[in-house]
Amino acid sequence: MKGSGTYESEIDKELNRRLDVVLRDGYDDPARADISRWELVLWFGAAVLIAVITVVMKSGG
Amino acid sequence: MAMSETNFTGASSEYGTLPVLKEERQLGLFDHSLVNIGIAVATWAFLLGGTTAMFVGAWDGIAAIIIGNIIGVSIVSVSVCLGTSKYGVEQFTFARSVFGRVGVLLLVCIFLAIYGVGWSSVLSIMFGRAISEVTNSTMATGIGPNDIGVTWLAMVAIVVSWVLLWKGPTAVKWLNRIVGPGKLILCAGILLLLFGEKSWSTIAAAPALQPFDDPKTNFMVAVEINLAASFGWWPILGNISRFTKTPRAALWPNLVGIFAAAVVGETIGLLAALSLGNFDPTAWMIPLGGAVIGCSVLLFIGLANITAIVSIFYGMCLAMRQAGGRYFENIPWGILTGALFIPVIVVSFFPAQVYDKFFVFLAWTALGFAPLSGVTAVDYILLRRGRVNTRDLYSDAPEGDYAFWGGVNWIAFVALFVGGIVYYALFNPMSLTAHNALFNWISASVPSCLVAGLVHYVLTKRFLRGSRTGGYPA
Repeated sequence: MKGSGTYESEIDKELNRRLDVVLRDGYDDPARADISRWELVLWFGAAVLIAVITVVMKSGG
Repeated sequence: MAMSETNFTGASSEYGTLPVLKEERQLGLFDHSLVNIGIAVATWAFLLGGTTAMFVGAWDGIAAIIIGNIIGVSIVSVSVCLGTSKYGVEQFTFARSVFGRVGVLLLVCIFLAIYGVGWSSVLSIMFGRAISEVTNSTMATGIGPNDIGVTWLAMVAIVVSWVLLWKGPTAVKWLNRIVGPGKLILCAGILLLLFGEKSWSTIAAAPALQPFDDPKTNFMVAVEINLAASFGWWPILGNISRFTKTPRAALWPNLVGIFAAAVVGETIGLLAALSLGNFDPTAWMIPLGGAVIGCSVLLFIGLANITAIVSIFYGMCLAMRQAGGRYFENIPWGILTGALFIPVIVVSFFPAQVYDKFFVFLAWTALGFAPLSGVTAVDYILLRRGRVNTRDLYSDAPEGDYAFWGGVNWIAFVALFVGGIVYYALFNPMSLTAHNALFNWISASVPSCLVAGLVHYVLTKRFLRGSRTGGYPA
């Protein structure tokens, strides 16, 4: 891990502990799910829609 | 008190760069939205709206605010929120996967120091001007907008922000539960006062404060200012979203909390500036609401500014810890944060140069953050397909995935440089004038972001695909 010396600080120990936890097989954290492709399309679709409506309204107004 | 000692060093997720565990994730859709509202409806939103009013009137200004914010926020959110949320990793540690271990250090020194110190100085000077308006009104102190009294008051904001920062993101979360909704009430109050005095048709007919000759250039400069502001969320959003509970909670609150809240705040700033003929929010409140209401509003704005300074500095301090490695990790949180406020104190001695010219500073930051957003979004979403090696993010070993060449991914920096060149070829951030007629149609930030992302994609595919360097999938 961090550095190659013999001294392992409190932070290195805590980092290793946390990495062991999150990389364990079967570690269940809903945040670590991938966002779906359709949700990303929806996200950018909403953004484009808002921008286009604004441009149309500005041009029309 | 072993627990508190641990919490005030880097050996925790909140005050350090370590991965967040499931039980430490505090932000769902609702709380993340409130945190974002708290930072988006700061007085910087009023100041941005006021600056927009320098170039365009009400209708064009509202359109520029919406277009600039939706483009920037949608790209930046994908760029920094998804990866930091999924892996629970601090944003600048995560950025090692793009720029390399040493590359991130360059990034922190160049971008973040300028950005964090610049914005915090603007906000603390605004605090100073707001409170001096109050003391001028109630105690006849006679402090001018660029007097030393403004600087002393700015230092009060810095000290209070430091104490709050010491308490960490939990303190900010609880403060924002009050300040966030309070600022929305404030917005409604300003609108009521504004339309109590003047009709919509009068405000809509008000001319821009200091426009250029060409209406098309004025509109695109207004869009560009708002693009710059929205791309400027890059260093902040990832370190908040790393505490979110789901990917959905990491992404969508940016639409509600950052985009919508910023649009509301900036539009109010735009209308108030056009109505009162002054871009500076601290000069609006007493003429608008009278002494009692005006002073109350200014005091609340001062408090709101402090939450924004804390949010900026939280991200900056984590980045410094990440960049400083073992030495910074072992420095107590209170001392580290206090040390980083020193340059803000120095800059707050120059209110006229910093505050009154803030849009120049804003345009320069876009030259960096627009390509940065393009590169980081393309790297995580398209090139890595949402996968990083968590263990190697923290590794300094030369055989790690993110060691690149001497700790620097030069490909990402070439892409940043090309993006910056594209920006400057289109727009002069010093004079806010177009370098190229194309600017009036495509802005400078958007092509800069797209070109940087494209260059990063092409060069990475050409030189790094399937190789051990960089850990990109085949």
